[in-house]
Amino acid sequence: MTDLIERATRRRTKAPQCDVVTLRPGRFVTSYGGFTDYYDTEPMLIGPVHRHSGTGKMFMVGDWLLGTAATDEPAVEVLDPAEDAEARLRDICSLSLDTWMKVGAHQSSMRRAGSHPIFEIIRLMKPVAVDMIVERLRQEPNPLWIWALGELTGEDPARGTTTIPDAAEAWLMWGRARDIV
Amino acid sequence: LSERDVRADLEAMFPRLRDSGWIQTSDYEMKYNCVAYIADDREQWWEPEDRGGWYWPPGLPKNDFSLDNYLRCFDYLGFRRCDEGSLEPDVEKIAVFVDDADEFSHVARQLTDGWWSSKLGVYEDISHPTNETLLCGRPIAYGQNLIFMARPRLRSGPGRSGLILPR
Repeated sequence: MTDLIERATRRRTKAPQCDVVTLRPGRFVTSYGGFTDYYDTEPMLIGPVHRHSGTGKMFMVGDWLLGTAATDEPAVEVLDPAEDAEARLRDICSLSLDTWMKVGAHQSSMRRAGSHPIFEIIRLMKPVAVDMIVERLRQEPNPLWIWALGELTGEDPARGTTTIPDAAEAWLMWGRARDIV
Repeated sequence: LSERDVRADLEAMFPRLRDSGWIQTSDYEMKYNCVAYIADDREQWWEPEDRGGWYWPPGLPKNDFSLDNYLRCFDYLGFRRCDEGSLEPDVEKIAVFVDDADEFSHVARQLTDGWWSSKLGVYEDISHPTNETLLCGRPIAYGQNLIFMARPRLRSGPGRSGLILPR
């Protein structure tokens, strides 16, 4: 498990201590597609920092400007792989799934929802994420979870179905066969 | 989803909805998306994903997420491109939202009083006065470009409140 979180923190950057970050509560300025917006946020895992913009707390994920903390508090929490890595990884994965749900649920295309950088974090945590997603699917037949399971596992146990409830049931059978649920 | 504040959530997602007078017209529903909504299909999620669980009309390619494939889907439903989205008698119009990468992002249908109706992903159906109220969707924006399509109005369709109106 430690390997996993180390991979998550080291991948995609030459500065491993600045890779996976969480944002602390506060007010953030966001900019998407030319629109600028202000909002108060809960703690939110954003994603791997591909590069800093060089202006302090403003940072980029891929081509996305994600936020500038409007408070004086540090906006970025750097993960310590040595500190309770497994529990922390599960926390991060759970928070990532919550965030992905929040940012992707209004999309008409699940593939489009999967284009958000947060899904790259989920992809990094695949072994943990798959189990959590199956459990979430058991609680709620959400097309986001169905799409994510297909994307993460490369499998298609729902082949031949054309509805979300039928696909959810097929994936739950897949999960039961693996003692996940 | 059942415990969330729908109004606060959607207005946070689409800030231009605030003060627009928008109306929630259904509970959240995960079975169908906005494309299915245009097709009056409340049971299937229409998306060209080539995996189990998704529906895409016969004869149209799967795994093709291009705008053109979506426009062909609306063509399959009888819609043809038109110039603009003003209300015309006996004509049903849809507004296809296109993002800055020229990709399909959303589709809304025009109601009989000129308002528009949208199914927002897995979220609720809503009625909104203009398409501009959804243009600032975040964080994956619906985009700023609209393509309008039209077909003869087959029936009265849902009213602003979500109820079917008599003709």
